[in-house]
Amino acid sequence: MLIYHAFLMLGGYLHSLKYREFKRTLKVSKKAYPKVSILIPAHNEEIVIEDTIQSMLKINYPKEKLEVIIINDNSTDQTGAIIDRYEKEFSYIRAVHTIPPYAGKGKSGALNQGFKYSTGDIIVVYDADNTPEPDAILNLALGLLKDEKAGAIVGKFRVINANKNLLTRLINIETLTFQWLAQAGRWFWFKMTTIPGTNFAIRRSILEELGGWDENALSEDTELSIRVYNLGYYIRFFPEAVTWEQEPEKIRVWWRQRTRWARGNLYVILKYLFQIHKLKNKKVVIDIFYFLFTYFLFFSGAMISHIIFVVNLIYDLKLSIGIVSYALLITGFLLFVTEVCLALSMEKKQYTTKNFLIVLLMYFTYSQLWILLVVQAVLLETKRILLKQEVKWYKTQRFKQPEEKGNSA
Amino acid sequence: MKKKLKRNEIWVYIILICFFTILQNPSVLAAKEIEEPKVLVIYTTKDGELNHEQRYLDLLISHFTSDIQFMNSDNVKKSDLTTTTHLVYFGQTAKLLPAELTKMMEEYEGTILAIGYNSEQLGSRFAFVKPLNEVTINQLQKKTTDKTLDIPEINAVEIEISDGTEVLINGSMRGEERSYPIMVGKRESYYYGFDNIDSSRATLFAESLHDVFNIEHDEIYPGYIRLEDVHPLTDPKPLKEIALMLKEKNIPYMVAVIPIYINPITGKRTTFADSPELLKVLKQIQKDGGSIILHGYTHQYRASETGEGFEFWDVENNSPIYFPEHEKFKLKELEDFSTRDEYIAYINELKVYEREYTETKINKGIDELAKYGLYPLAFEAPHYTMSQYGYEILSGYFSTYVGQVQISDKDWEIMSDAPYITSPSFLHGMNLLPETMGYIDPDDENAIQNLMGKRERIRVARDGILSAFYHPYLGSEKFKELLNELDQLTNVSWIDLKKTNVWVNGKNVSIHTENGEIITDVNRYKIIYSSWDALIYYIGQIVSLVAWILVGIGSIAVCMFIMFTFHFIKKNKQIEG
Repeated sequence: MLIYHAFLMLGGYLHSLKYREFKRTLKVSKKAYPKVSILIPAHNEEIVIEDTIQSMLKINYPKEKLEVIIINDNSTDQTGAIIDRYEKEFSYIRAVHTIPPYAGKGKSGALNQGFKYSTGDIIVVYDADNTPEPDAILNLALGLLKDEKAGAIVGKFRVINANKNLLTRLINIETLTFQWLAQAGRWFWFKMTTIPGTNFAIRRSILEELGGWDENALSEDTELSIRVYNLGYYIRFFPEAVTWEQEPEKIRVWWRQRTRWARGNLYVILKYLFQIHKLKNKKVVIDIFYFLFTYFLFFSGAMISHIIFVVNLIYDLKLSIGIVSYALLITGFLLFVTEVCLALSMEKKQYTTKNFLIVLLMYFTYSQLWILLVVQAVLLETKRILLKQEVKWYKTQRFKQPEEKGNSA
Repeated sequence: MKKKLKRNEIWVYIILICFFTILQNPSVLAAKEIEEPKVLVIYTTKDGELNHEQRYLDLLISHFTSDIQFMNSDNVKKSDLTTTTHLVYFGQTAKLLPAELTKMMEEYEGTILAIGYNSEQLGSRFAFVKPLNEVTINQLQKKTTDKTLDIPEINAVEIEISDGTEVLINGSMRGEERSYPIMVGKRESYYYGFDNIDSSRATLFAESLHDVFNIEHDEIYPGYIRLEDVHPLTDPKPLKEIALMLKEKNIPYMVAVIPIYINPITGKRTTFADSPELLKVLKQIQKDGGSIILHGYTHQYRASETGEGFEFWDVENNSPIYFPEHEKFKLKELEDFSTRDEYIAYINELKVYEREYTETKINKGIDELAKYGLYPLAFEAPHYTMSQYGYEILSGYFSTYVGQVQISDKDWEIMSDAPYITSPSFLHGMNLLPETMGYIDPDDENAIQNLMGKRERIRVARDGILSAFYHPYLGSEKFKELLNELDQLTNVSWIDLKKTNVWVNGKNVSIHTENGEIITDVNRYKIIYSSWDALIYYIGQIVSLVAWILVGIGSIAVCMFIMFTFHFIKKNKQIEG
C-alpha cells in the first residue's frame, strides 16, 4: 500500500507537469462546440442552490449550445421555487421537478430523471453546492471532444470553505491529496480515474448504452466509472476544469457523508468482486483490488496493530519487534507527509506553514478517524445484507440526514 | 652399428628415468610406508572381560592403525596370528597363560610389545626382561631424547638390562641421578613395565609407541580451540567478539552447539528461531573459520538444565539410557539371572530402547541445526558420557568425535582423553579429536596458567594434540588472555574441520566436506516444513526482508517527493514574484 501510494503520487507529479500539453490541443472553432447539458440534482438545497445557479450564469460557453437542468428532487424547502424563478428568467435553464414514485430516490434517481429531459451530446454533472470556474465546462466539453477514447472526463474540485475551521482545512488537504495522488496518479499510470460525482462530463451515448445511473448504488459515481471502463472507454483526469465546492463544517455531517461513501465503495466491491472474470476491462480489477485492500486487508492490519499497541501499553507482551517495524512505521509516516506536502505544493498558496503543521497532525487524528469510519460502514453494510434491506434502506437513510447537503464528491 | 648403439642408449636412459621417477615420487614410497600395521592385542584380566584399561590401550595404538583386534589370552588360536604384523600382550593380572600361547609367541615373527604381568611366560623372546627390585619413581625420561614427564610417585619394578637391550624409557626420582629402565626393547620385542596405562604416564608411552611401530610422525602438534555449550539462550555478544578475535588471528576453531534449550523449571523450549541474533553470529562463524559441533540435542535427560544435564547416560542409575526418563526402573544385575544368556538377552532388549533413544536424539539434533542453516561436522556428547553401544550407534552418523571418551559401561566417571588424534576400535571408525588441555574454570584464578601448563606434558608425544575449550559466557576479555597464550604455542597446526575429510549422515541431512567447503544434502520438506518454529522463523525472515525493501523504496520516494515539493515551491514563488 505504501509503495503503491508513492507510485501513484509519482504519477500525479508527472501528470501535473504534463496535463497542460493536453490543454494546448483544445483549440476548436466555436462552430464545432458540442451541445452540453448540465445536470444539477438538488434535494433541499435552498442555502446553496442560488450561488450554484449564479455560477452557471457566468459560464464561458456559447449559450445556444448549453442547457442547465436543475432537478428538484422531492425538496420540502424553497429549492423548487428558486429554480423556477431562474427558469423563467433564463432560456437555457430548465427546472425538473421529480414526481412520486420517481421522487426521493436519491442522487442516482434524480440524475436519471434529469437525463430524460436533457438534449446535449455531452452531459456534465454538478452537485448543488458547486460553483465551477467559468472555463470549467469548456475544458470538460472540449476535452471529451478531442479525446475519442475518453468516455468521460473529470475535472478538479477545490474546497471553497477551506479556511473556515480545522475540519475544512483537513478536508481541503485530503481532497487535494486524493486528486493528485489517486486521480492524477492512476490516470498517469493506468489511464484510469474514478468519477467523483461532480464536475465531470460524460458522453450521452454512453449513458444511454448503460441505462443511466444505478439507483441502488450509494456511491453511484464509482459504480458508473466501472461500467464506463467495462465498455472499453477510459476516464480522463483533467485538472484544468476546476469547480469549488462546500465541504462539511461539522464533524457529524462529515461523518455521515463519509460513512455513505465507505458503504458505497463496499457495495461496489461486493458487486464486482465475484464477477471479476466478467469484467472486460481488466484494469478495473486493479481498482477493485485496491478498494478491497483498503477496506479489508489494510484495515484489518491497522486494527490488529492498533490493538497490539494498546494491549502492549497495558501488559508487556514481550514482543521482539525488530528495528524493521519501526523503520517501516517511520517510513510510512514520512511518505504520508511528503506525499501530502507534494500535493499541496502543486496548488498555489496551499503549501503554508500552517498547513504543514496540520499535515503532521492529520496522520494521527484525521487518518485514524477513517478506521472507525470503516468499522461503522462495514457494520451497516453487514446489517443491510443480513436483513436484506436492499431497496428500502436508501430512502430512510436520506430522511435521517436533514443536514446532509448531498455534496458527494 | 652406430645407429644401433644409439638406440640402446635411449632405452637405457628411459629405464633410468623411470627408475628415478619412481624413487623420487613420494606417493610410491609413501604407499610402502602407509601399509597399516595389523595389531592383535591379547589381554589377561581378572574376569576375562575387556575393560577400560584395554580401551585406553586402544586409544593409544589406534593412532597407528585402524586394524586392531582384542582377544582374551585364553582364546587365542594360532590362526589368529597369521596376518598380524604386531602383537601386543597386556597382562593386567598375574595368571598362568595357556602353554600354546607361549609357543605361539615364541614362533611369532613380527613385533611383540608386552605390558605388565606374565612376561616370563611369553617365551624366549622375552628372556631379556629380568625383573629386579621394586623401586619408587616420580619421573620418566625418554632415553634418546631429553623428554621427561613428571608423574605421581609410584612403585615400579626395575628391569635388568642385558647385552643388546635398548632402553626406551627410564624412571627416576626427581633430582636424583639414579635411573631405572621401565620400557625396554630387544630387536623386535618390547616390554613396558607398568600393569596399567595410567593417563598421567601415557604420553611418554605414546611417544615410544612410534618406535615400537616404527612410524616416524612429524613433530607437529595439531590443536583446536572449542567454544563450548552454545545454546539458544547464549548471549551472542561475547561469542561474536571471540569469533572476531579468532578470525583476526586466522585461527580455525570449533563451536559446540546445543540446538534446544529447555528450562528445567518451566519446561519451556527455546530454539534458534527465538534467537535470530545468535543465529546470525553462528552462521557467520560457520562462514568464517569456525566449525559447528553437535553437542547433544538438549544436553539433558530427566529434568535438568540444558548444558548441565547428561543426555546419553543415566546418571541416577549410572547406566546407559535403557528406559524413558519418567519411568521407575531398577537395572538388574548378572546375579539376578540364572544363566548368563538370560542376562545378555535382557541387556539386548534394553539396548533396543537405547538405540531408538540415541538415534532419535542424534537425528533431531542434526535436523534442528540444519533447519537454520547450521551444519555440524562432528559430535561431542554432553559431559562426554556415552555407552560403548552409544558410540557404535553414533558411528553411523558422524565420522568425527570431539572431546573425551567414556571408556567403561560400568561407571561414567571412567573417561579419558588420548594424547594424540586416534581412531580407537570402540569408536567404530570415528576419528577422535581428544581434548587435552581442559577449560577455563571461572572459579580458578590461575585457570589460564594451569591450562597452559599442560602443554609440555602433551608435547612429550611428538604429535600430541593441544586442545582447549572455553565457555563464551565468561566473556571475551578472559578469552583474549587465553588466546594470546595459545597463539604463542609454536609448531601448532590448528585443526580446520572443514579442511579435513568429515561426513555426517543423518536421516534427513547429509553433510560432508570437500576442499574446505561444506556440502549438504538436506531433506528440506522433512526438517523445515514439518515444524512450526522453523517455518515461522523463515517466514519472519522473508517478511523482514520484504519490509526492509519497502523501507528502502519508501525512503527513495520520500527523498523524491521532498525534491518535487521544493521544485513546486520555487516555481510558485517565481510566478508570484
